[in-house]
Amino acid sequence: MKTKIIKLMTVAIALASSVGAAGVLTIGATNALFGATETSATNTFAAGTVSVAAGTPSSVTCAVTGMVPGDSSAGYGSGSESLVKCSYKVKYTGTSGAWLGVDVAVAGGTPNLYTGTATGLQLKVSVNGSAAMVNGTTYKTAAGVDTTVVSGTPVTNLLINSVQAAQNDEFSIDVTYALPIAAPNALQGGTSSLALTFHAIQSANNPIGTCAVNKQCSTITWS
Amino acid sequence: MRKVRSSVLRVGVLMTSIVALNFVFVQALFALSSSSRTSPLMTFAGATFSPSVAPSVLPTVGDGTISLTWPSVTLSGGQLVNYSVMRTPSTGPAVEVCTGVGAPVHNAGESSCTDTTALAGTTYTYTEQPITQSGVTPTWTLPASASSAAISPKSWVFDSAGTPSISTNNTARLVAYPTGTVLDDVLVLVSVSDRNTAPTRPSGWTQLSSSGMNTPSPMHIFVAWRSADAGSSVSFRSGTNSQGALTVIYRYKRLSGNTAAPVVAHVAVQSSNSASSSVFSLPSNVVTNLPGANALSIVAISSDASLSLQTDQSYVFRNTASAVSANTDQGLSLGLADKFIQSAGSVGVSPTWSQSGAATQWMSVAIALA
Repeated sequence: MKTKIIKLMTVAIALASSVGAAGVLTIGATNALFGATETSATNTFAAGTVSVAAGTPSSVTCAVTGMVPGDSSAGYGSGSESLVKCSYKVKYTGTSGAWLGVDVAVAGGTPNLYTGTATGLQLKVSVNGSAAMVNGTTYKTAAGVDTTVVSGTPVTNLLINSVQAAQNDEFSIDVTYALPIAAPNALQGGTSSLALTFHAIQSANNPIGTCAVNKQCSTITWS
Repeated sequence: MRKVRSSVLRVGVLMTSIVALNFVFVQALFALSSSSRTSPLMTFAGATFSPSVAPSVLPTVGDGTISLTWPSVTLSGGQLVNYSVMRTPSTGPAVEVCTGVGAPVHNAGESSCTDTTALAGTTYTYTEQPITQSGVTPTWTLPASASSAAISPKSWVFDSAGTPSISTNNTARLVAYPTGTVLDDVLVLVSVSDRNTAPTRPSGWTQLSSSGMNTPSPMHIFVAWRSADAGSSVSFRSGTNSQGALTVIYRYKRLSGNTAAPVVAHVAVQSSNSASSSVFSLPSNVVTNLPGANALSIVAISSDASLSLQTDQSYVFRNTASAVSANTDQGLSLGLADKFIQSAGSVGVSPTWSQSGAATQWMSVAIALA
């Protein structure tokens, strides 16, 4: 019985020792006699960072009231284009290369001004003046299929860049909007809201695969 | 034996801890660096109308038109609100009115327009519907208002007075019809004399009033009417002598759509007592027995003065005419005002007249034509 217990303890100690094996070897080396030493220059290892911050100039956060059919923001491409467009200014501040994405979350009250149809609120979301990643009421899936943005269900991981972002790269996520002439009377007094989440993930060891800019990307590991 | 088991247990716990630490270490190696930032909420709101129920239209009959007013509707975004105004006859389809240059105007919280195409003899109701527009395209609306009260345009409206005729004897004289008189207009002849003698009713005319007084001075008023013939004057004997008489013919023109023959709805004669004054408060005793009547307030005084309404009571002043004292005993003056009465019944409070001269005796006649 005693022998059995000793065997068990021996196995345990052996396993524990394997974890710190390198340390044991180092100790062994310092115990060598008549050795010469050559110390290398100091090797330093610093972790890269991935971080985002507010960009410049300041963002324009829209709080649009009293919209009527035919109203639209500057740059929408139709309608009055008399209202101010919204923009969310962000900056990539990390030191590591990164992939950037944006999540788009539309929500609404009762009635909901955004109906997900051609007669409700239309939203166009684009980055730095490129083609819209949300165009009216749709976004493109990774496969390029136009898919309706549903109020209350955020659209995630719309890819901003296919070349890894560098530190201090700035991005303007612009939102233009319109209420079509065909908006029905039922939308009088309707409300909607939009939130944009800008996010970055390290590009190293995180292949982009077949993802394309302005489309949803699921190849990248985003978190 | 118990001591042995305890040792085995401690070794097991040690082993578990080591494995767990290794697992956490490996997991940490696979976590990717990331960061995110969420925008403030961007909000969008549609406009609303205020009030949320379209106000009803208040129609008011004018001379050949119907004025329409209603409280303005506003949009929360401050945009201009337009209106679609519909006119519905008692029978037949509704039509849009107040369009183009006659579109509603907005002033001090009130919107208004004028219907210029309503036909006499027809009863209408009106609705208005607030509309937003994008360019010329109608967009959001409110449901149309409830219908207004039913209203009928005037069948007749005062147009003009003929040249006053002054006579100083009872010889027949031609009294001119007002310029522009056409067949089937309504003509009202009024004659006042400083002699209390009834004139001779001319042929083709219907006498409405012939009333006289002797104190403080003789005075007589005569009123007759007819549907205009093709002539341009009437031969009239005023019944006066050298004390003189003043005679005027008033023209009420037929309005669009009126094909009915004029009817005297009511006649009342009121005369003053001997107490003369500068302000004349007429009794309010006229009641029409037909809707859509013109109530006429005719005042005569025994002096050369200018007559006007002091308190109009919604009457409209139409005319004053005078004869100087050189041609009459004391001078004579006539005044005419009228008021449209939509429904049969009392015409309401009579107007108060005043005159520019000294206090004098007066007589009045109130009639209603439909």
